[in-house]
Amino acid sequence: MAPDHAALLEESDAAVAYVIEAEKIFNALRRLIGQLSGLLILAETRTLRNAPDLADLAAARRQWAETADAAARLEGPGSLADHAGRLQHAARHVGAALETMSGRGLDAGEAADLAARHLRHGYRLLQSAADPRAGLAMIDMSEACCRGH
Amino acid sequence: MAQYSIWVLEYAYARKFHKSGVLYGAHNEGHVRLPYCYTVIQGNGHVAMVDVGYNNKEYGKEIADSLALENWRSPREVLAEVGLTPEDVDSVFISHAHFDHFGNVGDFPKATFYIQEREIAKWVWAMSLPDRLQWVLTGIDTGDILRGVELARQKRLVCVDGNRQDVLPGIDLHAALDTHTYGSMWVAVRNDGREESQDCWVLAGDLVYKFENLGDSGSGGAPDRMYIPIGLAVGSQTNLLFTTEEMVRLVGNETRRVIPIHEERLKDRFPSRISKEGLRISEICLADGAKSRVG
Repeated sequence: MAPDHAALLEESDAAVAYVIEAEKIFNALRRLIGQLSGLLILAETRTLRNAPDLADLAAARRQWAETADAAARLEGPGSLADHAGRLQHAARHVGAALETMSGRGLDAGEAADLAARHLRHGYRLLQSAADPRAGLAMIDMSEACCRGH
Repeated sequence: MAQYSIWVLEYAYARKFHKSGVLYGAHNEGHVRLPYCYTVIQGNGHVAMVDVGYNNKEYGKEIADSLALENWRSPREVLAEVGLTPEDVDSVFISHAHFDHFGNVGDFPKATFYIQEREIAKWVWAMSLPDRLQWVLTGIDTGDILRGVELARQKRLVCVDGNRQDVLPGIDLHAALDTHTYGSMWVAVRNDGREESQDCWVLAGDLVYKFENLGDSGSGGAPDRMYIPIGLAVGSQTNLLFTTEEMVRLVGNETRRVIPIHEERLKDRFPSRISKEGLRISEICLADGAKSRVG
């Protein structure tokens, strides 16, 4: 088990406090990646008449601003510093994707490719930071009816 | 005249799945064995699928382990059981965006994927909701949406707005909005090619899990019990029931023609065999002149 993943499961006050904050940031970034990906799909597959409402982007921008602010303040104790760094790095990639999408319009091919690259980077960073045992799950199945156990 | 062969191919299974997940209200009634399957439709020069399962590599395996899914086999291994390869697949109809239906698009390099636009649009909306409302995202893998971007950029993802007739000859897509998910979709195969088909098969995705959802007590004929919805609906159970009614009506009240891919008892109703990997192949129907893959 990677050192930082072991640290996520520690029961020290510092580790627990970190996981509580990290979980909010992790989940927010996960959802932002999904939102922005979905908007890229819709921009690519819809006619201009049905282009995504830019209010969707504005909502995502607001969410990102809150998340980025929280990520900037996140401090990982001990071996969790690297874990915090990955979440912060992921937040920067999501921000870069959002900036790209906001600046040039959703139907510009190059902007879409660049935004998608940033989102993929962000997603991979989240994957590396994920640990369902600590509540950092890439898919939340915690309340699913199909939970096997 | 039958234009298409249809097979339901198991690619993994859960030995103990809570029965209340497949039948609403079946609390404390134990577990069922739940096959995880996708459907292959072959004919008229096409190879199409309904859903693509999930990818057991990397994070997909973690998800599967958390759900106690076993014996996952790749599409290459599973499709080989009916003489096909993933590269043969030209069309995939995605019934909904849950991870075990939309989770393996990368294994089908030549397919065009069809999904309800509302499925994507509403998930975008759902992801903007506050934490306390995030139950609605159960089963959604952000990574699958991200992989959809690449498909869209390649012009291989079609967002369908509602119903679409003859997406392939004799194959229709039907929207089931605000049911199991916001933009669920089911597929009708009019195997005689007629507008008012006398040989129609419905591939129900996750809108139906068990024969009991169809009000079918076992005969496969007209519903002889009330419909019971499945356990999970981010839309509404009422919408699920009326979708069930629509599907059953389309097949002339012959419930055996509505195919629930998660139903373990498909093997009792249709010619089936178990592969050497221990996975089931069920042959729903054969196109004229086609070779059986289970006989």
